Amino acid sequence: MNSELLATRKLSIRMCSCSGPQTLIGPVDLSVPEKGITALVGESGCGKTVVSLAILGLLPAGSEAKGVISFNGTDLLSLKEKELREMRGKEIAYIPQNPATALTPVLSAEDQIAETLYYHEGLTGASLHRKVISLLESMGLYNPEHVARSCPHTLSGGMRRRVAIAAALACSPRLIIADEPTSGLDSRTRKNVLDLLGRSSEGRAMLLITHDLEAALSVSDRITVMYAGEVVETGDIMDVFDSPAHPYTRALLSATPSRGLIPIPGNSPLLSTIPEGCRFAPRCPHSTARCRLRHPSLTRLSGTRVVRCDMPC
Amino acid sequence: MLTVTGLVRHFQAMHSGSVPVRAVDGVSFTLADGELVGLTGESGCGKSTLARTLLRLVEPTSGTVELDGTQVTALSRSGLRKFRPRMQLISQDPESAFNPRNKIGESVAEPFRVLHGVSLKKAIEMSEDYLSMAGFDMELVERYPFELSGGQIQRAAVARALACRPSLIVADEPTSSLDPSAQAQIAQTFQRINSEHGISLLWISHDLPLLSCVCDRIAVMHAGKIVECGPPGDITIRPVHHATRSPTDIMSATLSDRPPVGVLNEEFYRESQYRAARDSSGTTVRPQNTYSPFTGLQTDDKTRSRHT
Repeated sequence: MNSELLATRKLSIRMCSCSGPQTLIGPVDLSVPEKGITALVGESGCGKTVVSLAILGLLPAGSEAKGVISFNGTDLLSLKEKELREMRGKEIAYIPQNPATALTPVLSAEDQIAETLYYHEGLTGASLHRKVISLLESMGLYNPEHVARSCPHTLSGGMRRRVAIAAALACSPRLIIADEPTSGLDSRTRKNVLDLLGRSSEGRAMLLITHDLEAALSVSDRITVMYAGEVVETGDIMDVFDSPAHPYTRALLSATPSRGLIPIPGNSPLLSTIPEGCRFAPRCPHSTARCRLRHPSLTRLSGTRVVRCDMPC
Repeated sequence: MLTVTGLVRHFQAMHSGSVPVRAVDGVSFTLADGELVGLTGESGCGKSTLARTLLRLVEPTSGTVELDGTQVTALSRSGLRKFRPRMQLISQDPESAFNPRNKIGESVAEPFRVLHGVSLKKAIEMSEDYLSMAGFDMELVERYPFELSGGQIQRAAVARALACRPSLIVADEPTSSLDPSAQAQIAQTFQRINSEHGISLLWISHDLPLLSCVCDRIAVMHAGKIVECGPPGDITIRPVHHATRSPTDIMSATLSDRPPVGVLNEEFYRESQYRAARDSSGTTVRPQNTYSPFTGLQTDDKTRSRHT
């Protein structure tokens, strides 16, 4: 039985916007099983990254998360900063969107990976060095000793990405949050990184935030689609790709080159001016007057398939 | 019409005595009016340097570039300055291509102020046509770049490039930081301006499925040279050079054992049988009635028949 490791219940996030603090994200009901990869997809600005930051307790100052983020039975939102710090890196690790800026430019790759191991596992000296080298080796890097000594700016995009993944895997976390791990990589490096993520996710949970639907399909087991700050569809990835139930999921898939490259008409609403009723209604080809008035709730279609639409396709 | 002949750009490494880096190493190709050509290749193979060299943002070591009968590589500084509007670059990160302190409408109006010397008000009026041509949402002209989504800013960048009335646009990974919907919007915009205005477009990207959907020809670069060039069907189905073969293999079913996004299971299995057959016999004959493994496009697709 693959039970739930991470679950958010009615998570809403209040953030500072131009017109003062406002609830921009939510309600988000997300569930990540104990093993396997869950993909989180949606257009830019729909709140994917903010949700992942809320899980890590790293929201920007002035923001506030409400609801429940339950990780292995603990509510992360009720934890103090000190307790959260024990969790980050050890239980929940994060692979940043842009390793070029997320890695410190003045430290060698080894120092940055070693930091987590030193803090959480108290490793030092030769044993710490051996562990770092073996981690880099398992990333499929050709010359781990050389990479360990290098500063990030001397490494290529794919190598930096692997250093960031190695740092995330260092303490064998139970959950890895990977934010756009394949963006900007060429096709060979992209495949290598995806293989690596697939291998690293064995026996642990991974939340894969991505725009790359092809990549999501190749490695993930489940998928959650977000639109304008809320979850619109969740389900087994093969089911969702075969028969998307929410019109937005359908439209998003149609925008991929393999399904016709058809853009979604209109623009997604700014999170500060969200329409009443169904948030996708103004762009939806099937919307009715009722859709524009009533905000649909998440309904269960079958088993683990959940959709936020009154008239699923 | 763009003609590039034997273009070379070498960089001398910082410590003396070392071998120069041959970023672009003898590239020749032509780009017809209104042709959309994709340029792909691994990271570091010289795609971006080629783009910058043929626009003379980087001086070439040797070789010539000719655009509509003008020798770009022979132009003097002032001549080049006058000629610049004819060739435009659209960059990967649209937000960094705009002045953050100017409203987006003002930035797009800038070419008119610089080229025609008109007032800001008049320039903004003149730019409106180009903004709508690029599919930019006119309600957003009063916004600053940080208030817009990547897709909208990229469309403003397209509008600004069009405002110079160029005959060549080089787009360096214009969609790599965009979500699938914005990617499709930009691809559509490019196809439209390319066919309606007869502008030659060189589109650099890693995304082979995307390129094969929109381009007339695809060129593959490897270690500073163009190693293969042809219609998308040939490149993706019958790659000849090893540098092409590996990304196409990766793009097709080998990404995983699952069928690619847009292909029905039946087609996928037919294709994988074909691949298995090809591997054992070593031939590259494509069976009848199959779709391209990842695009679901047939060879008589409209994007390609346009130029036949």
